[in-house]
Amino acid sequence: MHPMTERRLVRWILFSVPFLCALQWLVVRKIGEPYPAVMAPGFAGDAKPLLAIKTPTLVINKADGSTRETSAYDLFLDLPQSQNVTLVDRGLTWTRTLPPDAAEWTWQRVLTIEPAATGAVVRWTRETPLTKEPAAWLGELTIR
Amino acid sequence: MAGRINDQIDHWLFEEYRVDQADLSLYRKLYAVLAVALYFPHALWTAGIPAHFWNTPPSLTSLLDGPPPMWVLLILNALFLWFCFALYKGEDVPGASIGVGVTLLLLNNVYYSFGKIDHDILFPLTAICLAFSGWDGRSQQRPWCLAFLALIIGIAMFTAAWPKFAGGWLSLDSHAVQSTAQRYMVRPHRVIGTELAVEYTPTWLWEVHDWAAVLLEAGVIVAAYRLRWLRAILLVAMLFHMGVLITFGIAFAVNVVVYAAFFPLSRLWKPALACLPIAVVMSLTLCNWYGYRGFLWHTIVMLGGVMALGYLVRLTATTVRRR
Repeated sequence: MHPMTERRLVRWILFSVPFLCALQWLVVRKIGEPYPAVMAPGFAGDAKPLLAIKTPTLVINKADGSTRETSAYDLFLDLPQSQNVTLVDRGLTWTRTLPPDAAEWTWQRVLTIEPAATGAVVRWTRETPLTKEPAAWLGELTIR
Repeated sequence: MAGRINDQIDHWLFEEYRVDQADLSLYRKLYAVLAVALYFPHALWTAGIPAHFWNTPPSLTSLLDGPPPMWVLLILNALFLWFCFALYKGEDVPGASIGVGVTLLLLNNVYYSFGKIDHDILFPLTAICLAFSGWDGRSQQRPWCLAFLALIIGIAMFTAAWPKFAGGWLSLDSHAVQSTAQRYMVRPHRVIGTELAVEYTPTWLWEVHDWAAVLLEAGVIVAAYRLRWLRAILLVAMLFHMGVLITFGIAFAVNVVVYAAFFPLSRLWKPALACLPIAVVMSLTLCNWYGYRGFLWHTIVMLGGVMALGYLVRLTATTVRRR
């Protein structure tokens, strides 16, 4: 490429950057963060104090009639840390039902935690770390 | 006036980021090695996840009903490895650079299609940005490639600074970093660093952290105007990443690798070797607390932080001695 042509092209690329940034901002605002996007985590909401959190507990029923409770996040400990929390928070929330293939897949993971399991649910409660009120029950998702 | 602005723009694009090409070439090899070490194999775990968990961002994977089959991921990983190898050897560097960037973006797209995006976009974009920079060590150097990378880093950091500013991080009534630490205290993967920080950090220091985070992230795009300024702020950023790793267990190792593109690596390898044992010991300590899966990531962040600290201490000592 001729040097002057290259310089002109590079200048045009530079001048297009503000428009591309505006386009990205528009997409994020209207649809959601796309991938790829030139972005870094904002943590905007963290300026407000933490009032409440939703806690998932995996309740496993065993053959002898007893139950065992553990964090639902233990189901995906072998998966990348950044994603296993999301899998629980979005995939095992009480507002959804598990289709048969997802239920069977999750059940197999329950069995790796507790081989003597006969049933399992993910129980969601609302906790308030700052005021330490009693946990409020939100709902349950049945795995088996 | 317009002429002066044009001259400034041309200087920034075509002269400001002119560096020693040997350093760029060294960085290419380092980048290729770390790309494999940090990412390969990548996203293979997604193949077995049921479609129920599929939750894509606006992206190519939105066209899919669920994770791609394993053979697709294996092919992408094989291509990624091949391009990294070609990049290291210096064969068809522009093509290999773009190949590394694009395969990594595709694999990351799958990886981040379950509801959460990890913000490591700078790493694949570095390879694409520097494709024609002359980092093969033979062809004509194009400083504008490094200038654009600096601009991209500045934009990315600014997208983190603006929500903080708009969300009230600079208000004296809010202590956002403290609030973040409290959130991390109740997360499933909380770390001892968070507990110590919450226990012992005074209120005024939390507020200093709030301001420092916003000013640092907003300042990168301004500092990108001069290579010297950018290097200075990136040194501070490396200290910041080290602090975030210790306090929250989050290792922005890819950012440290990207920042290294702007430093004279041929002059830094001896200090790096000197700092490496310290970084390894610190990393092992963290791994003992947080688990050993992130040893390489922790070590990279610690190495960047220790080198930055060492340089700033030396600079301070030299300045004081001169006075």
